[in-house]
Amino acid sequence: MDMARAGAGGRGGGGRKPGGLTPEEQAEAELRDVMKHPANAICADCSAPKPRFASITLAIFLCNRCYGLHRGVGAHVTRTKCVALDRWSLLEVQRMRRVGNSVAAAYWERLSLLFPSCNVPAEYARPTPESCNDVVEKWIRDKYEKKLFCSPDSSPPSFS
Amino acid sequence: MGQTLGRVLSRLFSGPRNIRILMLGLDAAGKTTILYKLKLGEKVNTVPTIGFNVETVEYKNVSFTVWDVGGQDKIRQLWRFYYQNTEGLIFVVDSNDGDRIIEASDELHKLMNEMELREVKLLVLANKHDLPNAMSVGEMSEKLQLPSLRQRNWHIQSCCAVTGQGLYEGLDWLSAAISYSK
Repeated sequence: MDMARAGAGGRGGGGRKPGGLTPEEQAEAELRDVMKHPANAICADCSAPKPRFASITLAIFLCNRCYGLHRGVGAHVTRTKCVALDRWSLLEVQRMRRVGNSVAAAYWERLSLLFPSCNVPAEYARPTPESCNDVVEKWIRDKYEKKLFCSPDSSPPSFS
Repeated sequence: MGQTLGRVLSRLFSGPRNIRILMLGLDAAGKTTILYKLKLGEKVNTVPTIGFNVETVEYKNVSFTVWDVGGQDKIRQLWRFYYQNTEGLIFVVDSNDGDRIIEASDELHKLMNEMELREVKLLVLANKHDLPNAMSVGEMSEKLQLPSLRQRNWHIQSCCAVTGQGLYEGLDWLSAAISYSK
């Protein structure tokens, strides 16, 4: 049955995949699936619920406000995309799946089971959805631009 | 002679001239930041523009009505609804984003082929020139293939929307180019 559908799709051309999805639709469906992962259900930087934006350089999901702040940092550190308003490639979505908020935090904040002591200083103001923009911007710049909390001798997960 | 004098006098006493400007470019180029830097003189944290922002900016006895339309991939098809009566097009490009300069160039040339925009003056703002990977104006001009626009009155200006540097120089050019053609 599936093979018959795949065959029909192949003859139909237009880049359609089995199930009638274009590569673009397939990428979007897969992205929505990646977003269901619990770690991706909150913003990677301020923990606001239901992030609908992303940094494709860092492969993390972001809320509306943090997306704006990431744009301000510059594409050399973080290039952003919107889930609903931008076209995604399968490659980009696969990278979001491979990394995502939990793997990224393990690197950028050195949060992991192997390093139980988090590398972010305890007195550091970790932003919340209620923090003001200046606090969140400082956090984003310290974390990704100045690389204050990550290990100096390993490369970011998004590039591996 | 009398006609010229009449024109000068009407310019002097008629109040600000109105110019309709359309500001386009890829998402995250800095269009909304530029608009509010011109309007409020301060840097605002922007969220993606879904739809448009419009503001009137008074500068040197010219009243610029600037339409800033969202540049996200899937909403670029809405740009054409804003073409009508546009006298100047500001196309904003992120100078620090070499990976997307070809995409920006493609969008710009699509616009330049639009019948409704054939008379508009083109100001390219090469934004974010303060960032580490920023390309020079010469390199941007070449990558955007601006010299190929032979029938077009165009100008490229480097700028930094956060500090405001270069923005008014750009408006000066646009206002002069539009007045000259009238």
